[in-house]
Formats: sequence, structure tokens, C-alpha cells
Amino acid sequence: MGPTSSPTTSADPTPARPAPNLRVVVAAALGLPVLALAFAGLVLWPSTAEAGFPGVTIIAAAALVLGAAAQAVLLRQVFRHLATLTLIGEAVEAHGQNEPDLPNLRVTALTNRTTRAWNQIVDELAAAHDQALSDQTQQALNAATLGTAERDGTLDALPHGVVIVDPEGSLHTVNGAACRMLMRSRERLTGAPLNKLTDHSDLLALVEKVLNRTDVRGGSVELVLSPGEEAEAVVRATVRPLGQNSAQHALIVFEDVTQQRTADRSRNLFVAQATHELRTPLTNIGLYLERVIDLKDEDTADRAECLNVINSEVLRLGRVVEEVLSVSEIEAGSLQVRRDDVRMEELIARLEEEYGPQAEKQKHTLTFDLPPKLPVVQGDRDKVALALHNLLGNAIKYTPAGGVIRVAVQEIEGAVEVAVTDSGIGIAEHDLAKVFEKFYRSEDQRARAVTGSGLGLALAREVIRLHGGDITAESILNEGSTFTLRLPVHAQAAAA
Amino acid sequence: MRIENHKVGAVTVVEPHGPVVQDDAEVFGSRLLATVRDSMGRLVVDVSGVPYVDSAGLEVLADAATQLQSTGQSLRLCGANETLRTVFDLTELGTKFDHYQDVNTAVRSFL
Repeated sequence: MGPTSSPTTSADPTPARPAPNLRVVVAAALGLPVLALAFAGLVLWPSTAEAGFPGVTIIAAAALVLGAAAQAVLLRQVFRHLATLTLIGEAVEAHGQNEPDLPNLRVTALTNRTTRAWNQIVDELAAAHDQALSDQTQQALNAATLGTAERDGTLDALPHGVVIVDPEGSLHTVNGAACRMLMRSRERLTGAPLNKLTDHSDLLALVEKVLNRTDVRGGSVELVLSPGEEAEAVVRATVRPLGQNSAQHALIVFEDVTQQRTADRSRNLFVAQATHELRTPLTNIGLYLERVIDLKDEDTADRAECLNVINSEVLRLGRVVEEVLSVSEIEAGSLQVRRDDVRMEELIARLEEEYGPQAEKQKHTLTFDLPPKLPVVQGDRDKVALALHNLLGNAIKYTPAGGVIRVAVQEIEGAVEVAVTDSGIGIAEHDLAKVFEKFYRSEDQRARAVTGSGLGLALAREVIRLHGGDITAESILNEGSTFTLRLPVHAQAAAA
Repeated sequence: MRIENHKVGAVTVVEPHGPVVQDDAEVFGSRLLATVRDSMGRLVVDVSGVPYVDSAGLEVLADAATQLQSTGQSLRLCGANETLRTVFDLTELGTKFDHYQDVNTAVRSFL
């Protein structure tokens, strides 16, 4: 910047300033009387010459020369001042015409006290101006930087991807979540054109419409991304116009809705399957009821058969409803496990009673392998019965006609083990871990042919785990499966 | 150590079995980060099969949590035992993770 003014230079000029005036005054004071004297001498020349005073002539001549010299000095001073003032005047005029660069107002053509003083004033003014400007800039810069940091921090903390597209269609701002969803680093994304990053035509069209203002409202589209080899993600992109009237930007918000979509699909599937599960027993009940109504009084055997069917279908219906209720209780975390004394013998007997005829109908060989004495287990009778029903019901459902189903019960180390082995279609290895997942249905066409809510095993295991036991599965595809239920005799009910 | 991945709905559940220590931590770390990427952050780490962790294991978890945080998400752990919880408390790393009682609750938190 310009030279800084020191106290000495600003205090000095006061006594020094009269100096040039003094020189002018001296030149004028000396020169004028001397010139007058010279003229007087010249006027008196003839008379003095005649009077024989050559000395007067000489004095007059000398006075003339001296006076002329003094006038020359005077004139030179005046002209120099005039030149200085002209230069300064020009500078002031330039300033008046908005000369932006203050140092250009400095006078460099002449160097004297006046121009030096002028230059000093200009320098000081320029320095003050620069200082004010830089302060202002710094302040504005500080405010701007702080704002950006806060904004970026806020954007990065959002779980949704945020992308701002500039009027040219390139990415202006990208937050952390957007980097994750677009699977590229921030450095690679910022400034990159959007159409190089995605080939989703709906999204590109929407962004373009927003940018050229044919769509002032925006909208949303769903994209399917595949971040991993097997992974698939559904992302909803919402596009909105952004920015002032000058430059139209587009804001894209990416939301990961994969889990919501999956849940929706499961729910729909469940509703469809549960409805089917409910309708089948209802249809049977309706049919057999009609038959009973049409029966004559003497057909007691037929009536008994019909009533039996109706009874078993009602039980089945009750179990389906119980299953659905239990699942929602488990989901809500409010499933209560009671602690009854569960007589395993009774349970197994009931199981045999109910599934015996069903197995017979499908020409299965159903055998029960029981020890002479079974313990009394502490637990929730209905829930344990539900789990056992599920295992045996599955074994009968997923075994083609004429199969062998064996229920083996034994007591091992303070726990009752019920192993249900069938000679059914079996479960492929990659399916085995998933059969306990809710709503999971195998891809196997043979399994698909059998109806089910996809809840049974998930529920059975959940319930048995609440009792401190577990259900495990072993299977060989096309050869059959064994589901083993292990229930501690003195259950430490986890939910109690 | 054994690391199992399975999906519950759209959420990937990572199940490490055994202590996450030393070399195992490194293996687990790379698996975890790969899963974070592939699942777009939709993951739950079921640590119910982890009896204890050492500093390397903690670092791996903290790294994953940091990475998820940079994209507005969090590392969801479930089934941490008493030892793990104490370690998290002592190292003040507990606040970096979201804790859930079981897998189901953790998975539902994505809805």
C-alpha cells in the first residue's frame, strides 16, 4: 500500500510552507525598487551625464541588470507554481470524473514541496481506501465461509441424498448421502454433468424441465439402483425448482425407500396368503354344513363325519387367527408367555388325534415314537401346541402322498426334544436358513403349490425361543427334512 | 471367526461370531465396509455372537460408524452383551452407535 504518514512529515510543513512565498516576496521587494531605481537612473541619464556623473550611469545599469534578474527569478517561481497547480488541477478533475485508481492521481511530472505533499495526501487516501475495502471483503468472506460450512454440515447430516443441479445441468452441491446413493466420491460428483451419472431418462427429463422452467412444480420418480452384486435399492428422487429468478437451479432429493417397498410387498403377500388361509377352512365348513342340512335324520354316520370335518376346520381357522394375532403381538413386543404346566403327553395325544386322519387321507405313514413317560413342561400351553401343530402340519403338507412321517419325542438334559422327520420334498441349502423368516416362501415350485401364510415357522421359533428353547432344521433336498423343537422343562421364559 | 450375512427384508444383517480381535478385526472390518457399501447403509450388526472386542475391533466399529455418519446414517448394533456395553461406555464410543435389543427391532427402525 501507499506510504504511511509519520507524525514528523505531517507536522513539518507548517513552518516550512512560507519559504517559497518568502522567496517571491524577497524577489519582488528587491526587484521592484531596484528596477525603479534603474529607470530613474536612465531618465536622469542625460542630465547626469552632462553633469559629469558617470557613476550614476553605471549604478543605473547595474540596477537594471539586478532588477531584471530579480524579475526573472520571480517569473520562474510563478510559472513553476502555475505548472504544479495545473497538474494538481488535472488530477482533481480526473477524480471528479470517477477515476477508479487513486494512485493515478499522483503528480510525477514535477517534484517540489507541493507535489510531494499532494502525493502524500493521495497515498494516504489510497491506503485508507484499500484498508476499508479489504476489511469489508474479509468480513463478507468470513460470513460467506461460515455459512457454507454450516450448510454443508447440515446437508451431510441428512439421511436423504441432496443434489443441486446448476442451470448448465452439472452438479453444484452434493451431500454425503447422495454420494452413497450415486456410488461415487464427492470430488468426482461435484461439477460433473448429471446425464453422465445416471441414464434414468425420467429423472433427466424432469430435471431438464425444471431447469428450463417448463415445469415449475417438479415431481418425483423412482429409480432402481444396484449398489452390490445381489443388492438392489429403490430410491425415490424428488425434483424441485430452486433459486432466484436469475439462474434456475434444480434440487434433487434422493430417498432410500427399499425397506418400505419390501415391507409393502410382504404385507400385500401376507394379506393375500392369509386371506387364502382363512377362506379354505371357511369354504369347507360351508360345504359340509350344506351337506349336513340336506341330510336325512337317519344318516347318522354321514352327519358325524361332516361334523368332524367342520370341527377340524374350525380348529384350523382358530389357529390361523391365533397365528396372525401372535405375529402382530410379537411385532409389537407385547407377546406374553404364560407359565402353565404343559403335559406333553396330552399335547402329543391331541396332535395324534387331529393329524392321524389327515395323514391317512394322504396315505402317509404317521408314527409317534414316545418314551414311556414324558415330563410336565412349564410354558404356555397354547403357544407350544401352536408350534407343534406347525411342525407336524408342515411335514404333512410338504410330503407327497404316501410319505413317511415320524415324530420322535425324548427327554435330554432337562429339555424335551420333539423331532419331526418327513420324507418330503426337502429344502435346498440356501433356503434352509430362510424358512424361519417371516413371509418367506421357498422358490421351489412344489412348495409354492402348497398354501401357507409364510408365518408358521417364524412364529413357532419365536414362541419357542421365548420359552428359552429353539427350533432347528436339517434337510436334504428331495429326501426330506427334520425339524427339531427343544423346550427346557423348567423354562426361563424370556418374555416373563 | 465366522461372519454371516443374511437379509431381513431389504436390510442386511451382519452376524459376526466370536471375539472381534486383532487379525479377525481386520477381516471383519473389510467385510463390514463392503456390506455398508453394498447395502447403501441399510445394515444391522448383530453382535450377540461376540463375547468381547479389543481395541482393533472397536476401531473397526468406530470406522464403520464414522463412514455411515458422513452420509447421514448410523451404525445399528443389536444384542450387545454386558461386556461389550461396558467397553462402549468406558471408551465413550457408545454414543457413536445405535443400540437395539434384537434384530427385529433394529430392522424395523429402518421403516
